[in-house]
Amino acid sequence: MRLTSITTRLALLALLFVLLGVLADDAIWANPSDATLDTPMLSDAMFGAWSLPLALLGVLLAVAMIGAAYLVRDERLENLLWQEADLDKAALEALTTSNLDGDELARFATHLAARGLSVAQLFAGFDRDGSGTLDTMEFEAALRQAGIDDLPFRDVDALMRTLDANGTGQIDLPELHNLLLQHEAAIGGGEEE
Amino acid sequence: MIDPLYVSGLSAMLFVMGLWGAFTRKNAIIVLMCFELMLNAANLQFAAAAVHHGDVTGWIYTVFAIAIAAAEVAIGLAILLSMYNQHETISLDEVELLKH
Repeated sequence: MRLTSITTRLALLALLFVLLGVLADDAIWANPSDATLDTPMLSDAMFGAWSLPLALLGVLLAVAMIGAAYLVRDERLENLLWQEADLDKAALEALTTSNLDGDELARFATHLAARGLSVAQLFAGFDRDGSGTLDTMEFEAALRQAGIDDLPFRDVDALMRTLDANGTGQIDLPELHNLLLQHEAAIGGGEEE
Repeated sequence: MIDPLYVSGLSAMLFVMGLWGAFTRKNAIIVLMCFELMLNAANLQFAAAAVHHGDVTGWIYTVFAIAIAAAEVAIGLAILLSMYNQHETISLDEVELLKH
């Protein structure tokens, strides 16, 4: 192991000398140009001959950033739970089982019903990225709009699981519609009593 | 103006320092920083050559390298976060597989 380490260091040192030797070659630095580079020249090149490669680079960069953001977003729940309770993975599943009493969903449904919009309009208002489903962050924002803003993240997740009938981890339009139907049925039942 | 030979020498030293760190360090964040150091060494060389030869292409390559470095950091840190969540460490000695 030690021999490998010493060999690597010697090889890197040799590489440094090789690089310095190559870069110090007179052929590279002969015939310096008198032309002075300035920013307008750079912008001309960027928007002229190099515009297509740079546009492609921008697209690739955007895709990379979106991919990284989604990767981080998927980990967010776990991170928040770890931060909150310093738990190991085995305890995560237990944490997502919450002690909510159901009032939050009733308050949420009441708020939605009071807005006087169709279910599709409500859903479109919450679905900020237009994906056709509500993820945890969008659902949390919707709860906040309804005045339910004091829930810890695990309780928001528990509410989502309650609503998420098909188990996709996201709320779709029929699931939100079901919530409002249940709310209407509960109100109707209450009035009949 | 600074002699481009000195700039080249500096960029070569930075590159080898980055390579050294990438080979010898165990902390994944430091290794990521070493990759950045190598990319920036290349940028320095591109810039020096561009000024010396009066050709703006070197600057364009620098823009490319900066964009690639940004993407690398974003993806790299996301992978490190995922790695930490899976293995509870970012030591490259202990994390041998990308899949859990």
